[in-house]
Amino acid sequence: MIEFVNISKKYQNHFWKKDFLALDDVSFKIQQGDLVGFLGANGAGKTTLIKILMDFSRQDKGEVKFDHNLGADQLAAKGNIGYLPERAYLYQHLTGREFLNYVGSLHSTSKNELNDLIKKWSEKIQIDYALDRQIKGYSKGMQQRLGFISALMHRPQFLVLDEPLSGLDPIGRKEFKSIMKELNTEGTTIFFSSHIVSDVEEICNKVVFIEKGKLIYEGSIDSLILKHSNDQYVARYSKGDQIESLRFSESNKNQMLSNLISQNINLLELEKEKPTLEEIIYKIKR
Amino acid sequence: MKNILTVTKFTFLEVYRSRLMVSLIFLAFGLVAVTLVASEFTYGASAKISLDVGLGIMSISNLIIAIFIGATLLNKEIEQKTLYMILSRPISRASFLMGKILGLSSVLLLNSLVLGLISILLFVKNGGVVQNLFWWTLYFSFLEAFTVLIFAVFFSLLTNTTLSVVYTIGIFIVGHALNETAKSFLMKVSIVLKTVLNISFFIIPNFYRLNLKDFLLYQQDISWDYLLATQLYIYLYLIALLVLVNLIFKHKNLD
Ligand SMILES: Nc1ncnc2c1ncn2[C@@H]1O[C@H](COP(=O)(O)OP(=O)(O)OP(=O)(O)O)[C@@H](O)[C@H]1O
Ligand SMILES: [Mg+2]
Repeated sequence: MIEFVNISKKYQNHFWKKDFLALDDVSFKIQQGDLVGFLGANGAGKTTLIKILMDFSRQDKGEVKFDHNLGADQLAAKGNIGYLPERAYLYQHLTGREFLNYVGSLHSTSKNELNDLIKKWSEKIQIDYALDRQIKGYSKGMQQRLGFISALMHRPQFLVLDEPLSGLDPIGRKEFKSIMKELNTEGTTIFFSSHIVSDVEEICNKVVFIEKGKLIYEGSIDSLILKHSNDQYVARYSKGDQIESLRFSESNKNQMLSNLISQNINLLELEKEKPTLEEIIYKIKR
Repeated sequence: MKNILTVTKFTFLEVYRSRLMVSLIFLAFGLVAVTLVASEFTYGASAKISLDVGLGIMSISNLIIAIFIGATLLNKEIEQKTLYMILSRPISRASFLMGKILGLSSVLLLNSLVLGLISILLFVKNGGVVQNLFWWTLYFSFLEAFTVLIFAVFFSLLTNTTLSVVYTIGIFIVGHALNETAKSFLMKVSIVLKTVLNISFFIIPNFYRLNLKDFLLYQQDISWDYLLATQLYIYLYLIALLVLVNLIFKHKNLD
């Protein structure tokens, strides 16, 4: 659907200082139907890459390739893309409804359809009560909700979200995640950046991880976890009214198990030890 | 095209909700008051005075509005990144820019119409007779402010707001002064200087030509040749300037 090919981007802060390399030869692909989490620490270059994707910022090297079924040219493709910037940059003097009308009418949606969409989504995202107030009176989370609606209202095939979960309360996070999951099952490809590894692990099937402008890992979460898991097993069993556990490796699994069973215990579960994505990321970084 | 007008509509709405509109209303009342007072004190030529004052206030306010909104509004969208929300939609940068400029110039148009009509009403009340030249004066004054507006937008894409205001005022003053220079004795004798000056009008607009107030107030007549030539000149000039502004915006890094 989207392919980044050898993207590099320099920032020149002062002309006598050395250029700062914000992205260094980053290449990866987002396939149709994927739900991709984009991980990286503060300043890793996530927003920079997303801005290049949206053609706001221009790369020094490389190119972004759009799949033809998104649209014949870049302009047409934008009709099938939904974008939420790092912070919802909203027109403060407009009301929520006016803003949604503004951006919605730039797509080829009819007026009636647009009104229906605004009603449906504002109720779902729970901002309908504030739609007729000026945005300058919105809280951060409310602005984030409005921005989220504006990104997905026109049913885009591809959603690019820069930290969609920031600024939300726990319930909001949960709702946003379930909406993203839902849209993805309906066929929307989603690419979103985040700092929270567990959020990514929870809903994504793929992950892209960058650090200091360099691509560290790109691929499925499962295979990453498999690759980094050790061959340790944990058995939990009850002995009397105590629950105990025992750790052993693959090679002496059978031996340990038969030992346990011969001791006449009640085996509750046997589990292969899996690191969380968070632990792996932490490990890779060091 | 529909998308351009959508941007125009919401740009206008932004100005409409800002303090600028309130100032416009105050200005209109001020204009009425000043003209009434002025015409009380000038026996005889009161109609002419009211027109002079009215048109003066109109063109100055047009210029101030043009410089102010031209230098700030697009720049604000870039700095506050609100245009990310728009340019991520199927609208080209060129269309967005055109929509923005149309929205801003509709404010100028409104100002010209309101203050122009008030002037003409006061003029008629004081016994003046409306002639065609009056409409030409309004129209040219709008063109002048529009040119200033595009210059302000142009500078705002290259530098910060303060400097773009300064540069735009600079262009305006130089554009006026060049014409005065052209009339000077030195110009009449030196062909080289005259050529240099004529070439410079391709770079800096000859704002003086757009000011028909003297014709309206004193000669009360103007040739068609002058009107046509001036329009041709300023439209060609504006097209070139708009193409340039467009190119700059198209290639601008918006991060
Ligand atoms: N306009 C700019 N001028 C100069 N440097 C910039 C600019 N934008 C970003 N940078 C630098 O590029 C690097 C990457 O920034 P970016 O915003 O892409 O990080 P990020 O991964 O989105 O971080 P965060 O998680 O904090 O949002 C940072 O070191 C930042 O200082
Ligand atoms: Mg960021």
